[in-house]
Amino acid sequence: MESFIHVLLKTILFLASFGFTILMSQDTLSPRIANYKMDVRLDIEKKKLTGKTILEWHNTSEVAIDELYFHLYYNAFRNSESTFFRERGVPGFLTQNIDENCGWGWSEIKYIEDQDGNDLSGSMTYVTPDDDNSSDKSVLKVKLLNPVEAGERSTFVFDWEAKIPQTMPRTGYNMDYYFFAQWFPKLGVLEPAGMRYAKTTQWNCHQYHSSGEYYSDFGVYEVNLSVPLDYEVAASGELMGQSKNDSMRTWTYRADDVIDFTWTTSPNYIVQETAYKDTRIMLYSYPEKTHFSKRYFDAILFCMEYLDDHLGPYPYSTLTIVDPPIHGMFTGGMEYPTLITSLTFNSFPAGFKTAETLVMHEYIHQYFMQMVATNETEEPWMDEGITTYYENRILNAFMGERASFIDFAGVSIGSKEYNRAELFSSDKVSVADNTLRSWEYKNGGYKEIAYNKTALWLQTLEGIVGTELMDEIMQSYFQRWKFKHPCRYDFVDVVNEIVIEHMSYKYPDGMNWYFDQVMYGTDICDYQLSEIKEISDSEVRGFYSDLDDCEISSESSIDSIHTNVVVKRNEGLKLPVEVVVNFENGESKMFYWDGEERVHSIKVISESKVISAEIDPDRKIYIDHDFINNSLTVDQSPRGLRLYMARWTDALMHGLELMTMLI
Amino acid sequence: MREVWSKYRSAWKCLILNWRLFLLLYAFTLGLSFIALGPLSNLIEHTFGDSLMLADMTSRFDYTAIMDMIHKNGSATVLSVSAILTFFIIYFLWSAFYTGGIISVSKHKNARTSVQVFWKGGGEFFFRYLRLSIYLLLFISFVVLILFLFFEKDGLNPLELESEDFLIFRFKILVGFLVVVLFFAATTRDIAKVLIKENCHLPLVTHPILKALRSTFSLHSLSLSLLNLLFLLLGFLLYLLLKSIVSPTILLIVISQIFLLYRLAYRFVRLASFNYLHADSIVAPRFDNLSSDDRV
Repeated sequence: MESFIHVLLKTILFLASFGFTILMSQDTLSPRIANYKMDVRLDIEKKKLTGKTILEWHNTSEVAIDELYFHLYYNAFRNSESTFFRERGVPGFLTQNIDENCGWGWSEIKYIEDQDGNDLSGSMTYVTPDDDNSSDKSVLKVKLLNPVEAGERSTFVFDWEAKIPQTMPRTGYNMDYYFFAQWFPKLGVLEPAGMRYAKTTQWNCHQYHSSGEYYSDFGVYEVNLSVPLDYEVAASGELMGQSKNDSMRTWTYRADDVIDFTWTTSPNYIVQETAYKDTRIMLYSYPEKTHFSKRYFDAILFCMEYLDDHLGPYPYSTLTIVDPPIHGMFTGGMEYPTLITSLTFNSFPAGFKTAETLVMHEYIHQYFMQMVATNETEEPWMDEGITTYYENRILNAFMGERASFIDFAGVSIGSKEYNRAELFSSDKVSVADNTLRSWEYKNGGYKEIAYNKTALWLQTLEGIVGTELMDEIMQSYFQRWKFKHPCRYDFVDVVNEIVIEHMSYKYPDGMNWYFDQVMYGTDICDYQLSEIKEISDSEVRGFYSDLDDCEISSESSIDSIHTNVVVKRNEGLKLPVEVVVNFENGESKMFYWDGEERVHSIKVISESKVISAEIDPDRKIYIDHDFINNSLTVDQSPRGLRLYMARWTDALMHGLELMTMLI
Repeated sequence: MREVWSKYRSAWKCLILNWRLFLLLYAFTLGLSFIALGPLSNLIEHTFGDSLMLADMTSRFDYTAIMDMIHKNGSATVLSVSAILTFFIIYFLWSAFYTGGIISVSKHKNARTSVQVFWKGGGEFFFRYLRLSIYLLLFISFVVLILFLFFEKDGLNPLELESEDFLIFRFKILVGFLVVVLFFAATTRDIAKVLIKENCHLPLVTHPILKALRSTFSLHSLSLSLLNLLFLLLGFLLYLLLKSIVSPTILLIVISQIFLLYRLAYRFVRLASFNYLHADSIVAPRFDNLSSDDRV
């Protein structure tokens, strides 16, 4: 009988486990490799979180795994010697506000057991895979007693505790505002052999660095969050229900097919809502910022429709936008699955498009690195650069090319041009190629290369292959790699495949020649139109068809004018360019140059005089370092110059008068 | 009020009678701006002279062009702009000079006055008006400093702010307060300018300033100051209206220059009207007091 019960129980457990596995793998958006059930309690007095996690993990590799790696992100704030603070420094504006006793943060797993009930707590050790910093405790290794076999699912239960840091970048508390990002002990990513750069099956679990945020497997999160009764909660996924006891209310959230779970709580949140198709869009802001809702909603609805059309639908049922209060500003401008943070200031004029820029940028991240889950620590350009590229495109489509970033007091700046100027204003333009990992930008350049330069070379790629083909490339890339972990080779492969399919007449071998320069190279691009010289008849005279008759070239005629247009490549980057030549009679003629030589002459024979010429008139090569030297006129335009200086003179006269008005 | 209005009208009449002098003020401002912009003009000509980018720049603010110019000629751009800043000092001195000139000229009501009167008046009172301007500058700086200290008394660290709204509210209140202080300061300034001229035997300007302070809060002085300000505001609103309906660059510049002329006229009229209000109460100027040299 006992044996029968034992067999029955085992059968039930097996069926339940099998059912769970089927549930996890059938009709789901993602592979659901790491699934979390968490009970979390917030103690606002002690500024602590206590949690119990049940982690169900699927070993997708072909080898047995006998150790697990966890991120304990909050240990980055444990002391000033953590890798995070060594890289970032502990700037005064952070430290001056930190209470000595409670400003720092930490995270610890108190107890961990496997599904057989084996206590693994004694086999935990902190490791530093990226550096030898023994003070850094942001990665924890747990040695397993029973390895998880290839293809098996296994469950681990652990109790943990975290001390919440005060207003650190991306997370923490300040006053009664709490924002929890990268806050719970979280499993690294097991990369089976052949995935991304893995030659053998390996854990990818980097320490918490100053730049680059997280890289995780997809899964389901079921989280119970217990907070004080009067606190409002916003979190990734969907609210499944609430319950309350004497002093706490428990909010149950569930997020499917996501790579992370983030939440925030405060008694001051005001919630406003709108919807896009089947997605509920909720804006959580403090009372003094509720008036930004129209700007947020207009921008996000436009952006959602744009990406829906250009890449594919947003598959989640909710999107939460959090606008932090001013004392929580360090948590603003961040992206998490189905939850993004923006940042607005009431003191900023409406012409500063911060609300639109941030909400669009963070929403685009739902596609690039939430769904197309690249490793933003190892390849930051794959999410930040692509996102910035789309941000520029969408903002320009939404608010106009010349005013999508700032439109205030006669000063209008477009998002795309701001991005370009930001890169070229920096001395880090050529500091590194795109293959550096986020923490390897030791002397700066992370933002310039990962964000600005990438957006520029993607913009230029669009110029080279055309917008339509670029859209096809990006859509194919997204559709092929959503809910997976691609690397740069995968992106390049998609580009090559589509370019060869549609433009083999021009680029039969694809675009590796381009990526070799912009992704793996550090060269700058600068083409110059250096000379327009009319050639007189005497210069084309000589013995041509008849050796007895000195004559004008047969190519020439009495009415034709010969002009030499000289173009130059001043820097190392080589790109094909268009050169338009404008004639006195109003006509224009387009020439193509492969951009290879240092100097190239274009011989123009025309009936009308050449008055000007311009390289890349449509600014397809947006990565060009200097647009001023892209064009040349035969005769300077004194009227234009006078008009321009007249504006300056007018402005200065008003300025002089204004400055002395009070004295 | 009728008296105030009458002084104000007389001041306009004086301006119209002395239109050549008024044009001189304008010409000086224009000339100074031309000189100040010389280096920048050369730089822009050198940078954009033969580029098609110039066409775009004339019609609107072109961020890309400006940034590319800075990348290309960084130090030259900084030098050119610094050169312009030094001209603010010259204009400051000039404004101290022409104050004396305007007051001297406007003293002769209902008469066109020789430009020599202007130069003479400017030269005679230059240092006194310069001192007055410096005192005023120090006073304004002091007020701004006090207001700033009050503004930031609870700290400006955003991490310690419950909300920025109370700072915005405080800022608005303080700006409102500053505007009121500046209004009274400007009224005192103009009365002081008149009294300095009327008390030309006094080498120091402190006595006229103290006297002016006492006269500031009279109904006549404040009404005249408000009247002047009101017409300036009306002109400004008209300028904004015209600017919003006109688009060609050349027309926008013309409208802007007309507004500049109006602002210069405002300066002249303001000084002249205060001269009539306060000098009249000390020594009634009479047309027959004019020497033959002063007439034209």
